[in-house]
Order: sequence, then structure tokens, then C-alpha cells
Amino acid sequence: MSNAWSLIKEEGGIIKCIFDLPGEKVNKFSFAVMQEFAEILEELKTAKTTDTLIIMSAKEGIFIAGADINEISQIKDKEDAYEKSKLGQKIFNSLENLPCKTIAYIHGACMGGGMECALACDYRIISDDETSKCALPEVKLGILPAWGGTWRFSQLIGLSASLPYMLTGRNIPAKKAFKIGLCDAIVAHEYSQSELQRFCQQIHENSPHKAILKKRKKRTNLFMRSLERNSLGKDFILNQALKSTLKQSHGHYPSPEKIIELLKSYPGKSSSEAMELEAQAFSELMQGEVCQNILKIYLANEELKSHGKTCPTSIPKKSHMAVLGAGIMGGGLAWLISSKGHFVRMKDISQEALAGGYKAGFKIYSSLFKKRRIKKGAMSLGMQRITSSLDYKGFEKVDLVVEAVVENMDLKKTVLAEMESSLPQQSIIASNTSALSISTMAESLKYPERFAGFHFFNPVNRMPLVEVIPGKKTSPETISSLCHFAQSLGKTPIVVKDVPGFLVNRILLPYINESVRLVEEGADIKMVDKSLSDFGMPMGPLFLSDEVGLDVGYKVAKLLEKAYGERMKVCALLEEIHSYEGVLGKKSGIGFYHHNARKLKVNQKIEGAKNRKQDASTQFTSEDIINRTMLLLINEAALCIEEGVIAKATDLDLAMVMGIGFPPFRGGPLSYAQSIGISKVVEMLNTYHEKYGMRYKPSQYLISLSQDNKNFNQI
Amino acid sequence: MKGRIAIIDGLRTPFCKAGGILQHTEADDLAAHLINEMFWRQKVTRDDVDEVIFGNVIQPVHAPNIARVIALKSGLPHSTLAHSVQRNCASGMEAITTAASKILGGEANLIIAGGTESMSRAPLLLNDKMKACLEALLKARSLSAKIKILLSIRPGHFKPVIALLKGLTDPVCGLNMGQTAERIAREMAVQRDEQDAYALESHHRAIKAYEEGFFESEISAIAPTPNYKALINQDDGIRHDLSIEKLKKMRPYFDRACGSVTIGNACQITDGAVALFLSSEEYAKERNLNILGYLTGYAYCGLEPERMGLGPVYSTAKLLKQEGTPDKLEDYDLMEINEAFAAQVLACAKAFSSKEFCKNHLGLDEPLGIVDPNKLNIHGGSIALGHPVGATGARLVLTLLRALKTKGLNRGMASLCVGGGLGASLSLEVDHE
Repeated sequence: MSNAWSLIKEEGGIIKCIFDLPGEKVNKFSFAVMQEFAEILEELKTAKTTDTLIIMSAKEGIFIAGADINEISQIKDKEDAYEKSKLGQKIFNSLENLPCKTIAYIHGACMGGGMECALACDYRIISDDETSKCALPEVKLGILPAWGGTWRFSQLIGLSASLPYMLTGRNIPAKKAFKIGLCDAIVAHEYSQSELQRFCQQIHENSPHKAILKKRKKRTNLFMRSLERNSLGKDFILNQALKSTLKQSHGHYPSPEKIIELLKSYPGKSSSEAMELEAQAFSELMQGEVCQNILKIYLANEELKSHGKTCPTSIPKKSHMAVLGAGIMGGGLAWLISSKGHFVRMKDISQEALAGGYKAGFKIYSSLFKKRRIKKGAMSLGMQRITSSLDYKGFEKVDLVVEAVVENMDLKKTVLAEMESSLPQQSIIASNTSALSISTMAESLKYPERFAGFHFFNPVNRMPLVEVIPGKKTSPETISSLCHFAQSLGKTPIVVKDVPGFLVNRILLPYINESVRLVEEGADIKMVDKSLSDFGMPMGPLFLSDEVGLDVGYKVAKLLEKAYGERMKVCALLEEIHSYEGVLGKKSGIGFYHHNARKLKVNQKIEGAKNRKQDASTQFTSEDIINRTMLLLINEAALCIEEGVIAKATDLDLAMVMGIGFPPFRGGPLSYAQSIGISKVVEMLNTYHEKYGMRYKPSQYLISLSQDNKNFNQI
Repeated sequence: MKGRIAIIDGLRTPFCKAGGILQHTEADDLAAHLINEMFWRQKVTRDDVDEVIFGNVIQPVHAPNIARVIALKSGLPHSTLAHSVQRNCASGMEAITTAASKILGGEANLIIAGGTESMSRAPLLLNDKMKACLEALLKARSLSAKIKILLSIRPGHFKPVIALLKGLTDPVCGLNMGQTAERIAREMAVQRDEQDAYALESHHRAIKAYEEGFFESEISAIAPTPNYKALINQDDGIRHDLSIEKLKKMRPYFDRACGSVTIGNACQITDGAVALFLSSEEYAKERNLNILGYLTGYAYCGLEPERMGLGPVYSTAKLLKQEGTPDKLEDYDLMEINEAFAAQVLACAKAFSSKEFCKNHLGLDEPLGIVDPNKLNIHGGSIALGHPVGATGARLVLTLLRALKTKGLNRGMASLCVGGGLGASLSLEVDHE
């Protein structure tokens, strides 16, 4: 790969170095590109001190998107990681040491390695375009900026200002970048040519140049600067940062801690010493399991999304969509679809129900407005795109209808048949069922080939996954259109087989069921939840059940019991809770917990339930709780692979991370099983099988993997 | 008119009392809601629309050309034209007739016209004393000067100017609308008893129309801002418990000593919007659109501001002379005279049939004709349903056409008196297969 870079020499000693990666929409630093950049820098060593080098991008909306993540994921071992880091540092050092003055002109996104490149320049100028923003997002992938980024960034804008950006990886918008002193000037892109020329003149003249450098210092807060000047203040800042980091990560994510540790060691070091430390820290992180897991999930997600993008689709860009059933899910879908510019029609059987849909949709809009993620005008336009109806008036314009009525097969069949007569033949019908069979549902339709499952997760605005489920007669075109559409809504589509519970709920339910069973056997409710949230789940399984709604959960559990028999038998305590009046979880204010009280309190009625063992003879450790629940989850996941519910193990892991928030640092259930060791998993399952019953019977697939000494990825 | 203008279809929001359930919904949101709903029901697409014309009286400060805001909120392409019209109470009709003349003149094929009004959102203004203070404060340089100005502020400075009341008072003759109604009630000798009986009948007719389900397909249910808590699908001004005794008990409001016009026999102040799709007859027929009815002629007139309530008589006299419209009042199967006041509708009815009035004021040898109460405002009017000023003109057209269609009748006339001394009459017609 050559000719990603070109040099243009202009009057007045200006040398423009233009980055334009051939055949790509964005500029990335692959190692080949870095090599070429190094050659160019070598050539520039002869430049005069009166010259000015401007690094800029020829891409739309992108300065430099960062390092090529595919290449990062292929880093072999610790030594390899160290060398790759050193190589990048060396190249950027030679950029820093060029005899001429250097400017990065940032127009578009400037991410990760791109920002490290900009930091190695003498000056940075940013355009005020909407797309112009800087970030060091490495931490999100479980690594850290290792081409001199941590050192240069903290040196440039100060410790306290740089820390939050390095620890969260969040974006720095153009105006902010100028304000905090990361950039020396902010310009309108339309005038950039003359502005850049003027800036080049200024830096070669004594007093204007001094003014530019002085401005950098002024922009940082006086109090913080004085705090940073002494070692005590520095320690204070870093310790505070560590505390709040640990509060969020529960110690599961090593990279923010590593960054803090690194910054702690910087005082008194020279830049080369600091970079040495940085390279070492990077290589340690790269070797760690967490980073490998996160990278794997990230790449799987990118692949699915880009696959969705390439799927051919019959749905127009500004389309007419209908949502059947205006509940929380229906309203959420109305929000999602209307916010992307489509016109939405909600249909339900009463005015009250429709009003509920509007309310649910508006709730999401207004929460985004409060967070300043959308403007008032966009919100009002979005809400205007939502209309409602008690009948099928207007359905002859519909391109896609998503059914989200109550989970009842007979009802769904009736509704679908009734609706189909009002629809044009080419429009797609999708069901947002969470567990019912798509093929059975399709029996009620005249044209089943345009029908498929399209399962969004609740709450729609926060859950990035969509299960796309072909029934027996579903056409490939329908699936392709749905995958494309899901991707255009910003979701990750994943195609799974039409089995009861599909993929995510099928794997989730045994885990929830087992956690209730633990309570039944006498385990403490809070203890169960705490053990699993400490394990890394976003919330405990009992709290999650309250959140989903105990009636909804029970319905799905019963359905799966019917489909899978003994293995998924609904535990007695759950049956008992179902018989209680008004104990429906968060929506009724009471479930496993009291939700309306100021402090979360356990529901004593469940603690004292008939079906719960009341003597405290059995003690449960966190390990018991985790093993009992996770082994079932792993085993069910393995069964799904065995039955071909989903093709790839990495996709299953991704689905569980995105669908239920399975801890990403563990890389999903199958990666987690691998980290325990598959033979160990089988061994434990066998023990539990004897002790607790047939639901722990290890799947044939796991057994054969352990016998052949293989892991999931080697199929 | 050179041809008929097809009114393809229309919708309206429920009309709700000002300060009530729709009080936070902007006038542009009311109208955009209707258009977005219409596009689901109509064969035409957003790209087919040439222009959006809306009547609006109060003209909210956030949307100077409200029709353009409505067009954009309805998802119409940026290239679609839009302009707003203001002819006070006849603004909704003005939108329709402006659209008609554009279509007839070949400037446009398909126009969305209508009226919208949020009387709840009419602003409260600072009075002149307060305004002067604030201006002086901005100019004052020294702190002491500023303090001095601030200390001069008295409770009277905070008395707001109510824009709605200002708007309802004629600046030339100095009378408010109620007082002009008193004036013509005296001129045409309309008694208090007649007015109360008429007002009660308006409510009864509206109640009956609801019972028959007449308004169901005319109204599009709307979820009001700010929280979209409920879906509203009914006008809320109709009083089911109203009786003649209750009406009699009310005191005259505009002329406390000798008057006859009360709050009970006047129209209500209301929020609401109406939208109609208009095109030439050929355009609609070529595309096989279901046509609700046609506009066949229209006339506006001017008279003394203090007698504005009689406007419909003057404009109708002009309308009947036109080509393409009936020659006699009796040729109309149904009529709408907007119920600004019971006194004013009754005064018009008397004037239509008065030989003396028609001779003296219109220069006619014969009276215009008899207004049959069974043909007039048969589904109730603004006394029961409310009068969102800029929207009512369009509502009369929509309601009248739908009444003709459901009753199997052919011709109708919709008219309106206009604050400031104008009158408007539209001649409408429906084809039956």
C-alpha cells in the first residue's frame, strides 16, 4: 500500500502533507501507512526551519480515524505489542523533531492514533465543523494510547483536564478542544486556506508566536494548575480519579487503572523514559484477557453492522412504517423509527392505549432533549411524524409493519391476518415477539414469505441488539431488508433460528430461573443480585426480572418450559409469586423489591413465601451463586451452537453482551467458558448434574469439545 | 369563477376551550398534526403539494410565517411553498379562496389550505409605562441612574396588556366585538329571549350531531403537548347540562345596563385547526381522487366596522349575483352563518328577509330571501363548538360539505362576519354518484 500520503509544496514555505487512504472512506493508520508516513518524514528532514508542514486529510468528515483495529487485534504477544508501540512512538517522535514547524489541521473526526499524530505536531488547528472532534477512545477497547498519546496529551493541557478524556474516551467537540488548549485556533473550514496561511506567518514571527503559546497556558484553570504543580496535588487528583474509576468499573477493567498508574509515574521523567513506560503498559494490557475479549466483541459488532449496510433492501429511505400495539415497546419503536425520519403509524384498539404509545415515545425524546442530545426542533419534528389510528386506515401506504401486541399466539395470528388484507403485497411484516414461533405465526398469512421475526430489546433506546428471525417460508429478501433496516436504525442485527425464545431469551431464562430457585432454596435476595452484579452483569437477575415485569417473564418462562421440558421447568417460587396480586415488578411498584421506597427494600412477602426454605441451614457463597447460574447459561449457549441457532460462537457472545449486558470484559458466555477451561466446565456440570438434577446435564457439544481439546472458535 | 375547485378532503382537530387541554400546543403543531394524518389517508404524496396556505389571526411570535412552519413540520419537501394569510375571522376562508385563485390562475395544482389558532397562546404584553422604564434602564449609564429608574416602578407598571382583548376591540370605532353585536341586535330588534333560545339550540344540535356520529370522521384525535398524556378526540365546549333557565340567569356582559348579549349566547374562545386539500377539478379527477365537494364561487364585502355582524348579508348579496352560483338564497340546501353571537346570526336572518333592509342597504327591490332555521347551522355552531378565530372559516366549509354529502344534498353557502367590518360568503356544492 503506497500513495496514501502526498506532499504539495506551496508558496511561502508551506508544505501540505495530505492523507488520503486509497479505496477507503476513512483514513486509518495501518502499519503499511505508518511505514509510508515514516518515509515521508525522512524526506522532510531536509526542510528548512522557515518551512511549515501542514498535515491534513482529503476525506469527508474524517481527519484520521485512528489505528486499524483489525491489525491491533492481530498483535501476537506482549513483545509484538511493545514493538508496535515503540515503532509508532519513533515515527511520531521524528515528526515532533522535524526542523520545520508542524501543524495538524483537523477537519473531521480525529481519533486515537490520529489524535496522537496531531499531538506530535507543534500546533493544532481545528475547524468548527460539526464533524470535527478529537478523542482518545483506546480505553473503550481495553487499551491505552501508546504512540506517545498519554504523555503528550497530559503535558499539553494538564493532568486534570486530560484525565477525564483519557479515562472515558469521550469526544472533545471542536469548540471545547479550542477552549481547553488542545487546539491553538478554531477556524471556519470554508476560510481555512487563508486562515492557515495567516497562522503560518504568525508562527514564524516572534511576538505573534509568543502570543499563541501564551494563550495555551491561559486556558487552563488557575486552581488546577497550582494543584498540578506540586506532587501532593497531583497525587490527590489521581487518587480521586482512581476512586471514581473503580466505582464504575468494579475493578473489572484494567485499562483506566493502568492509565492512572502510568500518569502517576510520569513526574520527573523525560519524554523518552515516559514513552518507554507507556509502551510497556500497553503491551501488558494487550496481553490481558479483557482487552482481547473487548476487541473480539468490537470486531464482531463492526462486521455485523457493515454486513447490514451491504444488505439489499426494499425499504425506501423515507418510508412509511406502522407499529401494531402502542405499549411501551410500540411507543419505543415509534420513537426509534420517527427519529430516523420515517413516518410512523401506531395502531391499537383504544384511545388510551394509543396515548400510552405517544407518551412512551415522547419520554425517550424528552430524556434525550434533557441530555442535550437533540434539539427542540428535531424533537417536535419527530413527534409530528408519529400518527395513530384505531383502524387500518392508511395501511395501504405502509412499507414495513412491526407487530408488538400482547404475547399470545392466537391473538397475534388474528391480528396479522386481519392486517394483511389492508396491506399492499410488497410491504414487509415483522413480529417483535420475544419467544413465540415465527413459522406458526406465519400460518395465518397469505404471503408468509414477507414475514419474519424482528425482536428488539427493552428499553429500545438503550439496547443495541435486534434478533432477525426467518420462519420456514420467509424469503431471503425479507431478511436482507430487515437487517439493512435495523442497521440504518443504528442497531446491530443478528440472524437467529426460529426456536422457542430464539437466542437471547432462551439463554437468559434458565439463568433467571436458577437465580429464583436459589432464593427458593434459602439464598438471600440481595446476595444473589450482588454476587452477579459483582460478576459484571449490569444488574442482578432478580432486579432484572422486576425491571422486565414479572408477568412478562413468567409468560416467557412457561413458554420455554413447554418447549424444552424438564430442563427449563419454572421453579415453584416463581409460580407462587405469579399467584400474588399486584406483584408485577417495577411497573406495579413491587416485585422482588419495593421500588417506590426511597431506599431499595426487599419484598418480605417473597422472603417469607410458602415455597421458600425458611431455615438458614444452607449457606450460599458468591461462588455458588455464580456457578449455579452461569453454568446453566453456558450450557444453554453451547446447546444453541450445537443446534445451529446461530452460526458463529463470536456472534453468540456478541448477542449476549448486547442483548442482556453480559459483561463485555468476559467476552460473552462462550469466551467465559473458555477462560475457565471447557473440560473444567464439563466436569462441574457433571457434578452439578448429580447434585441438582438433569438441567445441568452437559451438552453433547461441550463434551466433544473437551474430549477433542478444542475451543469454540475452532469449529 | 372560471371553474370549480375540488376540495378533496379535510380534517380538523377537536376544538377545545382556551386555557384548557390544548393550551400548551402551538398553533403550528395543531395544523401540522392534521396534515401528517391526511397524508396517511390520501392517495396524493408530499411531493405532489405545490403550496401550503394557512389563515391565522394571532400570529405567534415564534412562527412569523406560520404556514411555512406548518409545511416543514408536516414533512413536506423544502421546495414546497408556503404563505400565511390574515383576514381576521375570515382567515380560514381567505386561505381557501387564495388557494382557489392560485389554482384557477394556473400557479398551482395541489394546495393545502386551512386555518389554525391557539387563542391560549395569545401573549400578555408589558404596558407602555413598563416598556418606557425598561428602555430607559437600557440607556442609563450610571448605577445611580439605574437605581433611580428601578425605584420609580410602581404596581401599575405590572398591569399587562392582554393581546387577545386588544385584538377583539376595533381600533377605529372603539367597540369590542360584543358591543358591535349589541349594536346590530338593537338595529334589527333581536330580543334577549330569541338569542338565548338560539344559543340553546346550537348546543342541542351539536349534541345530536355527536350522537349521530357526524363529527367522528371530521376530527382527528390529537395528543397534546407537553406530555402527550391523553388522546383528545372531542370538542369540549358543548354543554350537556345547559338549560334556558341557566341562560336567562346570565347578565349581559358587554352592556351591563341595557344589553342582551351574554357569555352564554356568544361564541367561545377556543383552540383548534382545520386543514383541507384543494386542487382543480381536472387534477383530482385525472388522479381518481375521492372528492368531498367543490367551491363554486366566493365574495367578500365591506361595511361599517360597528355593524360588522351583518357582513354575511352584504357578501351573500354579492355572491348571488355571480356566475356559477345560485341566483336565489332559497336555492341553497344548507347554510352556515358563523355564530359569533346569537344576536348577530339572528340579525342577519332578519336582514336577509327584510324588504326595507335590502332596499336601504343593498339597493335591492326585493328581499334576498327567507333563511329557513332548519337549513341553518344544522350541526350547531361556534356557540357550542367554539370559535378559534383563524380556523373557523375553514371549519364551516368542511362541516358544510360533509353535511351536504351525508344528507345527499347539493348546494350550500358558508358565510362569516369579520371583525373590522367585512363579510365573506362561499358557495359550495357536492356531486353524488
